[in-house]
Amino acid sequence: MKDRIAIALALCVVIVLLPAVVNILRNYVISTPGQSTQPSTTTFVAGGEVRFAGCGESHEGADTLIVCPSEIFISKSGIIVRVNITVKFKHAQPCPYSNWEISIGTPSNAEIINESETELVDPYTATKYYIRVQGNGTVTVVYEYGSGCPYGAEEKVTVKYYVVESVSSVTLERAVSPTASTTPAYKVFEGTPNVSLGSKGLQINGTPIEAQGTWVCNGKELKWREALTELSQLPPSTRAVIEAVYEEGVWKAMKIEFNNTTCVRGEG
Amino acid sequence: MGAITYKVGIYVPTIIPDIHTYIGFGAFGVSVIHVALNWDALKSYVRMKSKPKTWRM
Repeated sequence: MKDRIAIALALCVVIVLLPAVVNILRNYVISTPGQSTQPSTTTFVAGGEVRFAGCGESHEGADTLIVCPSEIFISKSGIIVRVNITVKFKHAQPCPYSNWEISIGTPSNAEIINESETELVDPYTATKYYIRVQGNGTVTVVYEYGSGCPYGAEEKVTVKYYVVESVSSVTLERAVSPTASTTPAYKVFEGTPNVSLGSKGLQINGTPIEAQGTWVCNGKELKWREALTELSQLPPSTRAVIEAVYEEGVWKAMKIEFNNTTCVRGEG
Repeated sequence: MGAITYKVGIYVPTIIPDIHTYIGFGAFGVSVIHVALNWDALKSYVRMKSKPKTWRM
């Protein structure tokens, strides 16, 4: 008699929890790791190189917002990259709260060129944006649940893009690391500079580096033209050390050191 | 906006179809216990049924 009731109790618990378990499994399937990581791919785009890795995912509520790729590395400013946005709905559309919206924020250092129609393939929806990346920056994609929807308020994914000197040096581990730096590439050049006033900069070891703006040399403020003229008047064998950052497709000098003189880029 | 599910983290049904599903499975689960409690009566009923139909309950 007692065994019977114990068995019945166990069976009752299993049956009552069945819909909850199914829900949990369904959520788990939607957010499996297999969907949020993509192998890093390098594609060659005319005029440059692009590497992108990973998909960003947001699953605060019942639906999931997935944006691929979530990190983009390009070797040259101006390359057009396609951003794929997918929303996986928990409930088949149309649902009682179907005035949901997918929107994209204003990108920093990039331009949104094209936007595709939102296609609805139950239970998915997909939108594509084409963005032209000009420099380092981010853009945020937001999916807003319908008004009154009890299953969530908002899902947000941020896409980061960087202009790097060499796309092939970007490794997968770095690409998917959350601490990937958004600071521009930085390098120290050492050699004999060839000043070129026409291109507002100089060349060192074959790499053109621009040196515009004002410079502060040993405490004295100079315009770039004066600073570069001074540099060009040195004996041709003078070695210089130049610290530069790679921004918007071009090296920009931040600090130039030669013959006991240090010039640091000033404001403006 | 942002109902109980969003707050609590685990799914809480708030629309009629889902509530109906949960209550339905709940009722089915409780029925299993009710069958267990009445097992003896069911057993004697089946036994009686298999005998020739001269018994009276």
